[in-house]
Amino acid sequence: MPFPTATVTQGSGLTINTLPNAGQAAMANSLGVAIASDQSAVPVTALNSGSITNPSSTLTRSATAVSSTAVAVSTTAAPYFTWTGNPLVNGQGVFPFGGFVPGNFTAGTTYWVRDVAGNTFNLSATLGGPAIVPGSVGTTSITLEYKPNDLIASSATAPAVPSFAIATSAGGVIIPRVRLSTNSVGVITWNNAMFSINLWSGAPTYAGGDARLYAPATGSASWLANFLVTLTQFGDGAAGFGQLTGANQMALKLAAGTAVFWDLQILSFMQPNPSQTFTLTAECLN
Amino acid sequence: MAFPTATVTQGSGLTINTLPNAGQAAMANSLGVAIASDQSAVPVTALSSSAITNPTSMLTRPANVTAYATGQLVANNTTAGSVVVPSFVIATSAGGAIIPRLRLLTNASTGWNGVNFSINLWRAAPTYTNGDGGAYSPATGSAGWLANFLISGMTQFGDGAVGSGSIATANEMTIKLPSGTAIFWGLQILSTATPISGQTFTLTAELLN
Repeated sequence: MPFPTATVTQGSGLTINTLPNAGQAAMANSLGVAIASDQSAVPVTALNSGSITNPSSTLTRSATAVSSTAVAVSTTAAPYFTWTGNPLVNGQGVFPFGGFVPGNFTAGTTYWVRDVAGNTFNLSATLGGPAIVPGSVGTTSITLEYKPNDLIASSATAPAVPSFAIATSAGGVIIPRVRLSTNSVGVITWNNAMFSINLWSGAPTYAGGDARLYAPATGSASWLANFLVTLTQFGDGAAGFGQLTGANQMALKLAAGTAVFWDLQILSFMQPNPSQTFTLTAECLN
Repeated sequence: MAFPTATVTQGSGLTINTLPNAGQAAMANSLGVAIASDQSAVPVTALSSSAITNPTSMLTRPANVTAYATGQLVANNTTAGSVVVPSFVIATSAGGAIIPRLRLLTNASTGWNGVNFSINLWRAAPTYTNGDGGAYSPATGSAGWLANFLISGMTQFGDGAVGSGSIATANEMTIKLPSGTAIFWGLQILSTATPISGQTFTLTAELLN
């Protein structure tokens, strides 16, 4: 610490020229002080707003078509359904049928895709169930449908796991609430759509992908927490929030880095849009 | 407190040689100050990120596949006298801790979805009347009991099952250890489940220290 300097001038007295600690400085360059023994209470704010962050992260689902009005139905050549440019994969759900309803099928009932071979596929009444043979030929419409317990992801086969960042690397955080919004508008309403959101310290892997059964294959050792969210539909999208499940509070500590990964399990029947986005906002106390 | 020293040299002026309190010092060696009477509110963090720790502790059950019944102890040994009670550590010896949540992970890849557990925390290791697979019955340790957590419904993933729970019969807790940093834990299963040989249970405590 620099010492103060002064000048003594005969007849004029002492002039202090510099101080050792003008302005805020590091502790080593500061003078030690002690607060008065009878110091009255110092007012403090209960919370530093700077410790609150709301990082967000967006998941964008595939841009491929989610419906077709020109699906050919055969009664003899399995697989029985043909969708030119078929985007469906085994294990996904569809919501037939607009217009023509093939024999042995029921309008307004969810069916599962199986036996996908290029543009052709079969449908079953249950996941993994036997293929249903249509009882009549024709052309119908089919729409991809999310079913309860499906994964919502960027890809039907190789999902990328989104993440948001907490404030401090290898830091701690309390997340009392998460908010979820989606940009779905128009005739497809996401009102009352319910979701389960898991948080992870490392990206999990999945047995399937978008619109298939939510089944993390690896990642249990990095699981952090679960939140439940219900959406409300507005004019330009749907939004909702959720709280922690299984406990009242939490206090997470990351072993390294700032990334908290999240995934989205839908708990309702819903019809998605191509490139539909889901934005998670985490309310963090860092 | 040492006084500052100075030298006055004719023709050169005053030279201050030492200060009484350069750098941070104990209160006895510091200058007294009083905070301004109109000091505005000082912002403080209600939470310091560094105050959060997530210590873990693993229990490895015996090398058998004997099914558990509701209310049994899950432990490392089927003989009561050989049970080793697992523990995790808080940040400060003889310190305090708030534990808002526990997480439990087990490495069984199937069959543990929806399984419930009760977890007791102790500041000293209890002893048990029975070992793994016997009725949960602590024989000694009541004076060291700290808290009970319920984990309602594990979730099964492909490489293990996970769950979490908060304190039972209270909203919050503030635990102070008389010494040391160890908090012991015991696992009571509240469902039926068939384990794998040597199955592990890893407890992660979410702490505010």
